[in-house]
Amino acid sequence: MSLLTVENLRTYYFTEKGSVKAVDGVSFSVDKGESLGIAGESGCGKSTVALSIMRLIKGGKVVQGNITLDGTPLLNMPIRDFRRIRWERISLVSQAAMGGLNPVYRIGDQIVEAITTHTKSKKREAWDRAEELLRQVEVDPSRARNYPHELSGGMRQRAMIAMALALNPELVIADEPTTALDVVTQAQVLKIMRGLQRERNVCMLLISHDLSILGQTCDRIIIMYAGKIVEMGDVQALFREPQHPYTKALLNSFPDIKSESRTLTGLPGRPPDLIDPPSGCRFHPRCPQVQDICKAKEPTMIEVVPKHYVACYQVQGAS
Amino acid sequence: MLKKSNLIEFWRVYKQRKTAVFGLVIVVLFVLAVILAPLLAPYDPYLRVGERFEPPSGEHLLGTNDIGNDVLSELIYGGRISLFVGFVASFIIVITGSVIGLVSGYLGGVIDEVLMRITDTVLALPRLPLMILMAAYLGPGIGTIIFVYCVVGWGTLARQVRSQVLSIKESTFVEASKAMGGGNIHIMANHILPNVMGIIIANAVIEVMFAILTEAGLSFLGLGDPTHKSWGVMLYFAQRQGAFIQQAWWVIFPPGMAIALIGCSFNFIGAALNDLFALKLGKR
Amino acid sequence: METVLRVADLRKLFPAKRSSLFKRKRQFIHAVDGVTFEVKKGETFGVVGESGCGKTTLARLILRLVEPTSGKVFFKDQDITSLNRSEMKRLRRQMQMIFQDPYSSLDPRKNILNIVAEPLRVHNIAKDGSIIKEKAQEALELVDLPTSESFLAKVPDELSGGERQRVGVARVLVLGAEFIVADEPVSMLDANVKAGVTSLMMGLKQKIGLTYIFITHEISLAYYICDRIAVMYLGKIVELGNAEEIINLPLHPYTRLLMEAVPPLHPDDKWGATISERGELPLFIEPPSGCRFHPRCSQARDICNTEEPPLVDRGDEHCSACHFF
Repeated sequence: MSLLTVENLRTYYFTEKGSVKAVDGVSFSVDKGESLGIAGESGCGKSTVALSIMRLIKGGKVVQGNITLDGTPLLNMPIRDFRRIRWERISLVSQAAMGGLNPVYRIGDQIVEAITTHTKSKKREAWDRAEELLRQVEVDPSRARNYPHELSGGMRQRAMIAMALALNPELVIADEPTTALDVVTQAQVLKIMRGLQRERNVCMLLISHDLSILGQTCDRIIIMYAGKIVEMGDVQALFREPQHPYTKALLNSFPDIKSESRTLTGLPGRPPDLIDPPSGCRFHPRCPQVQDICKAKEPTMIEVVPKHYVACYQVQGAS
Repeated sequence: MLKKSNLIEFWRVYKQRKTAVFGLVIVVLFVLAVILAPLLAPYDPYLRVGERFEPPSGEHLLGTNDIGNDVLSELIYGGRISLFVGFVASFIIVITGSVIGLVSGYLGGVIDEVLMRITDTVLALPRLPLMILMAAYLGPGIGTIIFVYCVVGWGTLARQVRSQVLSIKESTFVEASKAMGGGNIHIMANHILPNVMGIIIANAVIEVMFAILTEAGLSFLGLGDPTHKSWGVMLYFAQRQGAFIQQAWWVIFPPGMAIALIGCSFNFIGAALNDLFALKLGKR
Repeated sequence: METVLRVADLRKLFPAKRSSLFKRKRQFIHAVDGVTFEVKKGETFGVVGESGCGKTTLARLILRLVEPTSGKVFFKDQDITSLNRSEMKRLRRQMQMIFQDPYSSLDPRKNILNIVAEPLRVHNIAKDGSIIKEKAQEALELVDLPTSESFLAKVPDELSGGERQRVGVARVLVLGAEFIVADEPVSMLDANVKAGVTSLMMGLKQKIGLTYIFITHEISLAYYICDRIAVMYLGKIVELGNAEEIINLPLHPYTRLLMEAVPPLHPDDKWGATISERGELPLFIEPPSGCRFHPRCSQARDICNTEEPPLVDRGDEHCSACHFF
C-alpha cells in the first residue's frame, strides 16, 4: 500500500552558468509503515528529492513530475493548502535546516509553536504535549525550558525529531540526521528513530551518504548517482548482492570491522557536472566495467530479481 | 589575486549595478578633467578676466565670481584641490587604520589593549568641533585640512580591519601556516592582509568621499586655504561676497553640484565594493 | 625499531569561563589530562575517541601549536617543549600536520602552486621560482594530482573536497617531512573519497617511509589503517595496544561501547544491542571522580566512583585503564 509516490521527478536549479539538473527523472514509492533509505555522494540529488517533496526548493523548481500522498497530488496544490500538509502529514528533520532550531527560543517554545500554528491547541496543552514528545525521544522533559545551545548535539537532534513528530505525521523525511554526531550518539538517535517509526507505523524517508546506517535502519534502499536512481531494492538483497558497479564501489568504501581483509578501495574521479552531464549512463566515466553502449544510451531501470531494480547494461546482459 | 580572470569576473558582477558603473564613470571623468585642467580650463582661475558676477555667456560659460575670475576655470582647477585632499587624506587614513587594525588584531594581548583604547578615544572625540578647533589654531592650508581630518578619522577603519583580522586569525589555513613554521610577519603579510584587502579597498573609497565632503565643509566655514581654491573655498567666497543675496546662482551651483556628484559617485562605488566583498566572504 | 615520538604525562588545561561571579575557584577544562605513549618509526599510530576526548588538543600539543600545561614531548629524543623559536621552526620541517577541514585549511586567495610551495618559502629553500615550481609539482605527483599550469593556477574554490585534502597532503610532503600528524583528515569527506584519500596516505607511507599519528572518531577506519591504537576518553587514554588485538578483544568498557556503536555493514548483524538510549558524553568541566567513564559504564561498581584506574599493561603491550577489564 503506497503512501507516497514520486513519478519522473525532475528538479533543476537555475544558475548563471546554466541549469543544474539536480534530480533528473526519479521515480519511487514508499509503502505505509516502511522505512526507505536514499543513499549517494554529496551532490547526487538526494537532498533535492526531499526538498522537492516538501516544496522547499530555492533557486530552482520542479520542472516535471508527479508526487502524490495517499493519492492526493502535491505539486500543483495551492500553497495555502500545502502548508497544512507540511508538518501535519509530512515533516522534515534536516541537518542543513539546523536552523530548524532557532537559537533564541527555548526548545519547548519551538515545539509549541509547531503545534499551535497547525492546531487549535491552547499553549498549556501544547506545552504538555511538547514534554510528552521529549519523553518519547528519551530527553528529560524538564529540558524543554532550555535553549538549543544548552543541549548537546545528540539532544538537539532528538528535540528536532520530537518537533517533527509533534503533529503525528504519516511521513517523516530525515536528511542526514546524524552526520554531525559522534558514533555512540548516532547509534542512540537512530535507535530511537527506528523504534518510534515502528511503534507508530510512520513512513520514514532516510537520506544519508552513510550506507552503513541505512543498512541498519531501513527496509528498502535507493542508490542515487548524479540525479538518477541506479539501484533500488530490499536492504538485505542489496547489501548481500549489489548489482550496479557504483553500489559495489560504494560498499567497498566502508571499513568493516568484521571483515578479514583490511583494504579500502575508493572510487577515482569526481561526480559529474550536472549542468552538462555525461551522455548515456552518467556513471560511465568512472565505471570500471564501461562498454560502448553505456556512453551512447541511458540505461533504463529493470527488475533483475523480484523487487530489485538496477539501471545498468552490464547487469542486464546487454552486449 | 589580481589574476586577469579574477578581474574579468569582478567586472562582470560589478557592472550589474548601474549605480556603481555610473559612479565609476563620473569619477573617471572628473579625474581626467582635473588632470587635463590646463587644456580644458579657458582661463587662469586666479586672474581677473571679467566683471564681478557676470552671468554665464559665450566668453564665460559659467560666468564670473565676485572678483571677476572665470567660474568654469575655478571649477576645474578647484577640482584638483578637492580631489587631491580626498585621495591623500583617504590614503593616509587607510594606511594608518589598516596597520593599527592588523597589528592590534593579530598580535592581541597588551598591544591590542593599548591600541584599542587609543582607538576608542579617537572614536569618542567629537570630530567636527575638534577639526574646527585644530584648523583654527593651525591656520589655513591644505596641509592643515588633511592633517586634522586624518588625526580624527582613522578609528573606524582600524576597528573594522581588526574585527576582520580576528576572524581570519582563527582560520585553519592560518594554523596550517604556523604548523609549517610560518612566523607572525609571514602570516600577516601572506595570509591576513590579502584576506582583509577587500574591506580595506571598499572603505578606502568611502573615505575619499568623506574627506572631500569634510574638506568642503571646513572650507565653507572659512577654515580652508584661500590661496588654493577648492570647491569648498569657492562656496565660502560665494557666501561671504553675497552671491546668495545677488542671486548669482552660477557661482553657487557648479561647486555645489560638483561636490554632490562626486560624493554620490564615490558612495555608489564604495557601496558596490562593500556588497561584492561581503558576498565573497559569505560564500565561504 | 626506533622511537620517533615520546609523550610523557602530557597535560593541557584550559581556563573555563566562570559560571557565576561568586565562584572563587577557577574552573578548568581538562582537555588532555596525563597522556603517555610512544610512536615508533614507520608505524601508523591511531588516536580514537569521540568529540571532547582531547584528541584534537593532543595533536596540537604534539606539534607544539599549543603549549602544554605540564608534561613533555620528545621528538627523536629531543625535548621539543624546551626549544626556542628558531629551533622549533627548524624542527617543523620534519613534523607536519594534515587538517580536518578541506574547506578552511587552504587559503582561499592563493592558487595551488602558492599553497603547496608555501613551506618552501617559509624555510627559504630555493629562491629560484622554477625550482620551487618543480618541487611543488613533485609533491602534487605524489598525491595523484595534475601538475599542469592550469591546475597550478586554480584556487581552492575550484577543487572538490577530496582534491583539497590531497593538496593538504602535498603541502605536507613538499619539505620531506617524515612524521605526520593527521587530525581527522577524512571525516569531512564522502565515503568513496574517504577511501581514496586514506589509501593514498597509506600508499605514501610505504613509498616514502612515513610515520603517522592518525586521529579519528571512527574506530572502524582506525582498524583498517593503524598498527596500534590509543582510545581516549575525557582527556585520558583508556586503552592502548595493537589494532587487531583491540578490535578483536576490546578490554575497556568504553572501547566496547564504541565498537557496538559502529553500524555493521551487513544488515543481518545486530547493532548496538547494549547501547541504551540514555546517557551521553557529559558536558563536564571538572571530570567525574574516580574513573571518568563510570557514569556511563554499565559495569561500574563502587570503587569506580572513588579511585581512578591507572593504565596498566595486561600482557602483550595491550593496556587498559579499568579496575576490572
